[in-house]
Amino acid sequence: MKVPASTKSVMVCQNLPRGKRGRWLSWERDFDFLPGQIVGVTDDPNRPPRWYSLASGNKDSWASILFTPVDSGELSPILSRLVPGDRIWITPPQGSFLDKKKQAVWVATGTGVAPFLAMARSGFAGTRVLVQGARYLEDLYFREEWQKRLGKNYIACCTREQGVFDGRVTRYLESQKWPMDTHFFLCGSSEMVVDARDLLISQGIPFSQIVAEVYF
Amino acid sequence: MSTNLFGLTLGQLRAFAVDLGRPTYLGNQLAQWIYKRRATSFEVMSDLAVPVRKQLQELCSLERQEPTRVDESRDGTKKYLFPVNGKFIETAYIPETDRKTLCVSSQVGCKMGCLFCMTGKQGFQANLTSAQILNQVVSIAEFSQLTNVVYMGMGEPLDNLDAVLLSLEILTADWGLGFSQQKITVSSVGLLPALEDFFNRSKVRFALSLHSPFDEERASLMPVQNVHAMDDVLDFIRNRQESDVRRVSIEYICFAGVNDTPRHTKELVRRLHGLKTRVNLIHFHPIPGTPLQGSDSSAMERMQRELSAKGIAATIRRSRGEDIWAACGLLSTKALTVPLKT
Repeated sequence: MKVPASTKSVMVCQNLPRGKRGRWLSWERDFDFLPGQIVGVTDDPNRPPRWYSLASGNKDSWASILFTPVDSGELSPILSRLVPGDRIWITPPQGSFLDKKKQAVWVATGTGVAPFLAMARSGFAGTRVLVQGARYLEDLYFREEWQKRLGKNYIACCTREQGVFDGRVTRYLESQKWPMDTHFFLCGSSEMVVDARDLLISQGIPFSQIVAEVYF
Repeated sequence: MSTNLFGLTLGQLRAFAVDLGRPTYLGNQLAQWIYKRRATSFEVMSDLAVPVRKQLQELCSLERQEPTRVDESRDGTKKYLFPVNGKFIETAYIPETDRKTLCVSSQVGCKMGCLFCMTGKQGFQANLTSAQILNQVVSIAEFSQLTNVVYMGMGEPLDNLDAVLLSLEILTADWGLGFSQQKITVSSVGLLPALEDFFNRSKVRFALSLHSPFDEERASLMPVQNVHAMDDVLDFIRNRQESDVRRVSIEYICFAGVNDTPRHTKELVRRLHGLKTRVNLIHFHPIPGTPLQGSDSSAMERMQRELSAKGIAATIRRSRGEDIWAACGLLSTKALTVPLKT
């Protein structure tokens, strides 16, 4: 499989560790995008791209993705070893995971926080609520930034360490009484997305008010 | 660890023969025995020299997995449950007067998270190998009666494309199971660029799961819409149809009040303009906890008439096997949570 013809080569500027296993990979941005969109990334034009949410702001000079290397993965171990000056191939941005609401609740686990980070850094945080989950505190990516940006509208949930809400994001969602006109944006593993969506629907939230993006 | 030869293509079997220090044509002989004669042991391969058979027995296997459960519906539909690494996959045998169709799974669980699908509630567990896909075909009692195979069971085939393509090669090759390419359909939510790869590397039929002609409404049913927009997928198919003659169909599960109104039919006609396709209107098999209800027959018949009036062939797919949890994912999800009766 070859990458689409519209794919182009860019130079890596930064590849930094984040949390226990996460990586923050950046390259010089020369394209416009809407926060919440994704790009296909590959190290080789003959290798199919993997899709990652852009995590940087749409006015930042660099474009960045947040990812967790998967030991058995084809691409992510390679990406994790890239150094500044290496080249990668990226597709044009695409996708419609876009928050056009004034009031919304964002729900993310792991690197699923990336599109919300892009939205916040592009000026769309406002009074939105972020419910972020991880096993370990260290993997609550950009926790300090979220605390500063959102204050008490930021809820961190952790399943293996103390100090924040104790439990999964679904447990937090279940503990709240949400106004029926609340819009929800979910991003993370398909398990989390499906569980959270089922829970919200069982609470009476119309499924048309739940927008989801899953990793694949 | 022994190599399972079941599920390898002719090219792979020839390469394996060479690796063993044997001539290439041993691969041809193995393909004949494994797929044409469906041998389950090397002992029966009477045209292979005894030392070759002995070497194969020492180094290789012909692993198959029998189903652990089969349920039969009043309408003759059968649902098979196969164990895979501690989980389960489902395979549905659907007999009709003029055809006998097998619906196979391509993954254990699924990543796509579609609102109406029970498989999605398991999350993603694993990709199936080509052997595990083909095993569903050859390990059922009705194998010799099968006329059609559809990749519409658990999982997203284009998310496991390499194994799916290998299985298609074996299913359709003269040296393999010998199914006509016209009798096999792969169904997908529409992943790009994997769809392009699929079109380049196979000639079997394709079915696109659409389920709504409106972007936002489709996104609320199918998260994939937020990543690969249906317009991009339909444009790709439209362009390919200039040179590609395979049949492409649109799968459309009808949900009462959600996607079955005249407004939806009108937009569906607009979206499908210029596409050579047919629309399969499908009854919804309800799943636990869903906010969705299936459309009644009159709404589906109205949609069918409206589509036909605009020149789009539309069929209503009969609901099959509802009494045996035939909607994909229902049985295996249940098997994960409660002990099964056998």
